[in-house]
Amino acid sequence: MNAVYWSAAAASSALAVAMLLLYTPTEATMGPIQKVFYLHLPVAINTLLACAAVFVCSIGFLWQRRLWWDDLASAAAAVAVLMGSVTLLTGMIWGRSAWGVWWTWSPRLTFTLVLWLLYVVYMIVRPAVESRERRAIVSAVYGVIVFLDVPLVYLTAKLLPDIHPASIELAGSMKLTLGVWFIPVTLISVGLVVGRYRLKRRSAPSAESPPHPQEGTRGRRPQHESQIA
Amino acid sequence: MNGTHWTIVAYVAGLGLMWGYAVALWVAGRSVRSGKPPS
Repeated sequence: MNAVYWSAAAASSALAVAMLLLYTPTEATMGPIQKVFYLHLPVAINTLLACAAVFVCSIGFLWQRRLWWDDLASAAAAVAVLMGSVTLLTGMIWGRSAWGVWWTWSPRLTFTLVLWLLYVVYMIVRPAVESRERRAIVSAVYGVIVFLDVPLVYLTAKLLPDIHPASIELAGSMKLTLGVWFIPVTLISVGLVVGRYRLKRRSAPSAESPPHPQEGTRGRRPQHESQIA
Repeated sequence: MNGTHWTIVAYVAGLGLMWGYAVALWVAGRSVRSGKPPS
């Protein structure tokens, strides 16, 4: 991502913050803490989109066996963990003011925490697999399986009794602010995936999979665009 | 701490994490391009 892209992300962030401070009214019932929602929802949606990107890239790798699919999947997984962390953090701050507790084991909160943990495990387990090819296969299979939690996160609040609101009614100016907040959050999210992917591709030949001392050339990483099988 | 304070904490932490990660990636990318490890 170039300077123009990140300048657009910074400018839209500044616009969104300005709207929050100067344009958006304070909600009558909840007060100023309701404004956390304008960051919380776009970040939560982008978390699910990053998880979907991991799923698509994992399918792509299992189908084509090209390593760039795996690099893209791991970049999206890192962003899913980051965005999931922000979702949980902002949700907990909101919950403390709205419900009086930092955390409650409601279905949506529980499945969201499980989702975050599943992608944290994805990031922890990857470096433990030494072979580049094996790591890609294990990650792809895992990336497909853990995606099953995403529909659960989305549907639980709609189908099960849950303290977490399934939908929120907003005034026109609040809807506009929420829409504007989607722009910087999505730009940052996409930019981070692409940035991490490019960094991985640039540093891959020397850092990704050094040959194992006892493997000779067997553990050497194949060329970027080559197929594994 | 009242609602305003917690709202500020949420935005500073949330945007700080996202932009902090972007800056970290930029620094790492620059060091990879120059061939030097990040200091």
